[in-house]
Amino acid sequence: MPSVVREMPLFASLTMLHVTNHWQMRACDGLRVVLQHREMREIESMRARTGPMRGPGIADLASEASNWAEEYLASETHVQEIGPGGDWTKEFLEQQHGLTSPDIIPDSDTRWAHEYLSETLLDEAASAEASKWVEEYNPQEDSELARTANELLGTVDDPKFSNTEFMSFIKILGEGAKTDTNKDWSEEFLTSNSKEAGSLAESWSAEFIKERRQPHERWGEEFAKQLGSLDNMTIDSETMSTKEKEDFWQNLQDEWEKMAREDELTEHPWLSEFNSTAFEPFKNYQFEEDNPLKDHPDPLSEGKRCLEAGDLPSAVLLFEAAAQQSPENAEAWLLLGVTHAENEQDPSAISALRRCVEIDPNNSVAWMALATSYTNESYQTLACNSLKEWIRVNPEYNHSLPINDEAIHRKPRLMATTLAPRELIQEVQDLYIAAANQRPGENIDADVQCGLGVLFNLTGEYEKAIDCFNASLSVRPKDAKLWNKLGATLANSERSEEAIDAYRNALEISPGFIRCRYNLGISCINLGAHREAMEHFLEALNMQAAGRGPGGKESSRAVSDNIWTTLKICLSSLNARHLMDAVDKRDLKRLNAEYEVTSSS
Amino acid sequence: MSDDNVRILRTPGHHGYGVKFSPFNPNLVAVATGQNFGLLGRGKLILSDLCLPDDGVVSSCEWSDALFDLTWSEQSPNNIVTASGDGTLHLWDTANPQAPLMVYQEHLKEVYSVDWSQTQDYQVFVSASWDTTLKLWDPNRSRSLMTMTGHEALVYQAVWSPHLSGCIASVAGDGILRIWNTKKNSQPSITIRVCEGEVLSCDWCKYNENVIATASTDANIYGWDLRQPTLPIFILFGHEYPVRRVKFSPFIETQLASASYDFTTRVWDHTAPSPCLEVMKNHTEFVYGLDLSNHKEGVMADCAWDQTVAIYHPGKPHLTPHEALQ
Repeated sequence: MPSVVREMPLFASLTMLHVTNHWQMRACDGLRVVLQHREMREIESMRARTGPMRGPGIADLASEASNWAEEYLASETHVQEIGPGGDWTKEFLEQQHGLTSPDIIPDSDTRWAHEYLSETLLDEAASAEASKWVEEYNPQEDSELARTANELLGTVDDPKFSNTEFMSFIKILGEGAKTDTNKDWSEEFLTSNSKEAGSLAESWSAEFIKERRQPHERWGEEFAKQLGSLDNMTIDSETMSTKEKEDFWQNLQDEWEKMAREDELTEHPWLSEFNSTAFEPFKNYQFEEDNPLKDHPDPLSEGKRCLEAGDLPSAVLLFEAAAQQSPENAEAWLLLGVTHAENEQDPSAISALRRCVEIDPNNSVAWMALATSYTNESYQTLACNSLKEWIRVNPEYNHSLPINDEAIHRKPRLMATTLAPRELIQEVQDLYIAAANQRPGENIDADVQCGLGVLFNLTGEYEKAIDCFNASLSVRPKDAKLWNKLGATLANSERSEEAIDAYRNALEISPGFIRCRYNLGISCINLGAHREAMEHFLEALNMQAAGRGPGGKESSRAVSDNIWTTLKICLSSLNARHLMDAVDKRDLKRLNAEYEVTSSS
Repeated sequence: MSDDNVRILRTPGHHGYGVKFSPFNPNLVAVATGQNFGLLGRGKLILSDLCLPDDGVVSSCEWSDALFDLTWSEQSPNNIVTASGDGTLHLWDTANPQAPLMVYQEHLKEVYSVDWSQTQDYQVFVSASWDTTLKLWDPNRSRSLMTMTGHEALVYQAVWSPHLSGCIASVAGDGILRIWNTKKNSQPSITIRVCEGEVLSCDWCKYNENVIATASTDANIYGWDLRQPTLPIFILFGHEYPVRRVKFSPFIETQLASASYDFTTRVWDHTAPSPCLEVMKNHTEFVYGLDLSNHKEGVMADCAWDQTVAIYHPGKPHLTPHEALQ
C-alpha cells in the first residue's frame, strides 16, 4: 500500500485564504503543489482544471441543466451492480468521463487509475527506500517546492495559525526535514514513506516543475472570471435555451412517467420527487432572451392596455421592455411582478417585486403583492415581513409599529423559512387587527382586510380568512384578485363548490386571469370533475401560448410549469396515457382537439 | 487546559479525523486518526473506555494509510468500519485488532466519510469518497451494492437519515447537498446548492425528518427544510473559519453542535434569539471530529489535529476562565 503524501483538501487551505485576499489562489495552488505526489499529480492537474470548471459551473448556469442531463443519461446506462474487476474499472472510468467535461479529462487519467490499482496490490516496500526519498529530497535542489511552501507560510498572518503544529509541518516541507528540531517529524518521514525513492525524486521534481505553471495560471484566470460573474449567477430553468430546456424536460418527464407507472406514492413527497435543478436563493430577475417587444416606444402604457384586455403574456413582455428601458422605474417592476403573479409565475413575480421595493421601499402595493406570492410559495416568514412592511409604509397605521423595529427588507435572505415563528405571525396579526379596528364600522380598509386574510391563510384559520376577504370584497366588489383569493381560501378549506363560484366571479371580471383559471381547474379536480378541469387547464395554457407579440415567437418564459404539471396529473387520473407524450411535447394542438377546446388565437 | 468537566485523551503522534461514541456502550469512544495530519504515513483506529484512567485505550487497529472516518456497527457491539486515505474501507473487530475482518476496496481515491444505516431494517453502510462517488456496502460482501454518482467534486460526507429508510444525504466540494433514495435508484432525488464554496458536513435533525443542516467553507451553518429547499430555514453565524462538522443533538430537537477550523466547537439552538449557546476552545489545532452521545444527554466528544480528544458536557460551569460565553 503506497503511503503517499496526500494532497490536502482544498478547503483546509481555504482556511488560510480568509486571511489574505489576492494571494488566495496562488496560496492554495501552492499548497496543493507542495503536497502532491507523483501519482497524485495527474489527478491534481485534472482537479486544477476541474477547479476552474467549478467557476463556470456556478456562474454560467445555462449549462448546468444540460450537464445534469448528460450525466443522468450517461450514468443511467451504467448499471451500478457488481461486475468483474477489470470491466468494472473500465465502466467506472467511462462514467467518470461523463461526470466532468470531456475536454478536460486527460488521457493520463486512465493510466493513473490502472497504476494506482496495481500499486495497491503491491506489498509494502522496505522503509530503507523511504529514507532514500527523504535524503534525496533536498530543498535547495527542489527550490520550487520549498518556495511554494514558504509562500504559503508567508500568506498566513493570523498568529493563531502560524503557531500551529500544522504550519510547522508545512515549514518542514519548506526547509527540509533534517533541519527541523522536532525529532518525531523526521522519524515519521523516514519510516512512513514506502515509495520507491530514486525514480520518485527525479521524475517527480522534473514533472512537477513542468506541470506547475499551467494549472496555476488557469486558476488565476478562472478565479477572476468567477469573481466578475458572481453577480449574475443563476440557476433557473427559465434561463436555459430551448434545446437545453427540452432535454431537461425530456429527462424529467421520463422519470415522472416511470414513477407514474409504478403508481406508488411515498409519504414523503420530496423523497420521490424527481428534481434535478439545484435550488438557488432568490436571484436577480431574468429577462426573456428574445423579447420581440423590447424596443417598443411606450411599453408601459401598451402593457397596461394589454393587462386591461386580459392579455397577460404580452403584458409581461411589454413590462419587461419597460423595465429594461428604464431600470429605475418602480412602476414598471411593480406591474411586471403583479402580472407574473396573475400569470401563475410566483418566482418571477417575487424577483420583480423585490426589485420594485428596492427602488421604492414605500410602495405598499408591491409589499402586499409580495406577501401573497410569498405565501403561495410557502415562505411564511418573508410573507409576514412583507405584510409588516406594508404597515410600515402606510401613514395611517404605522404608528403602531415600535420605533426600533428594524426594516426587514434589508436582510431578506435570513428570513426565509417555511415555518414562521409563532411570535412573528402573532405580531403581524395583531398589527393588522389593530389597523382594522382603527376604522369604525362600515368604513372598511380593503387592503387591511386583504392582508389579514393572507395572514389567516398562513396559519390555516380559513374561516377567519374568508370573513376578511368577504369584508374586503364588500368594499371592492370588482376586484378579480380578491375573488381569486377568496376562492383559493375556500378551496383550501375544502369548500370547493363555493370556491368555484368565487373563481367564476373573478373570471367574469377578468377573463385573462390565468392563475384564476388554473385554480378553477384544481377545484374541479377536487370535486372529481377531471374532464372539466382539463378544459380549464387547456384554456389557461392556450392563453399563455397566445401571448407572442407581433414577432410570433413563443415566449418560453410565459409558460407556467405548474399548469403543465397539474395537467399531467389530471391526465393520469383520466387514464389518458396515450396523451402523455403530447404533454411531454407540449402539443397543445393535439390536446385541444382531444378535449374539444378551441384555442384563443 | 484540561478542566474538571473536560476530559482530554491523548493520541500521540496521530491526528484525529473522526470520533464516534459506541451505540451500545456509553463509555466507549473510538477515534480515527492519521500520522502527519493524515497527509502521509499510517493510520490508527483507537478505542477508549472512559471508565479507565488517563487515555483509557482499550485497543487500537492500525492501517498503512491514514484513517479519515469511522462508524460503529449497529448490529455487533465490537465492530467498527473505518475509511482510509488509500481508498479502502475496513471492518474491524475491536477484540481482535491485529487485522481487519474485511477490506472493501473499490474507491479510486480517499474515502472521507462512512456511515452505518440508522434505520434498523437495513444493515448497510455508505462510503463517500474524493472520487466523487458514494458506495453502498453490505458488511458481509466485499463488493459494493450500489455506486451513486452525481457529485462533481470531492464528497466530504454522507449521512443516513434516521427517519426514512434508505435515504442518504451527501455534501461535496461542488457546494451541493444531495439527497439520495437508495431504494429507488442510484440517482439523487434532490439537489440543493448550499453556498459558493464547499460543503464539508451535513446532519439530519433527529426529530424532524425534513430538516437537515450543512456546514461549509463560508463558515456558516445552514439549515434546510426539504419540503421547500429554495432557501435555508436558518443560518448560524459565528465561526470565523470553515466549519468542518455539524451534528444535531439526539436529545433536543433544535440543538446542534459544530466543529471548525477556528479551533472551536460550538453548541447552537437555531430557534433561540441568540443561537450560539456555547463556545468551547479545547484545542490548539483544527477540530476535525465531533460526536454527541446517544446515551448521556449533553455529553460530547471532539477530536483535533493537536493529537487530543476532548470529552465534555457543555453547559456546566467549566469553561476555561478566559473564554467568554457568546
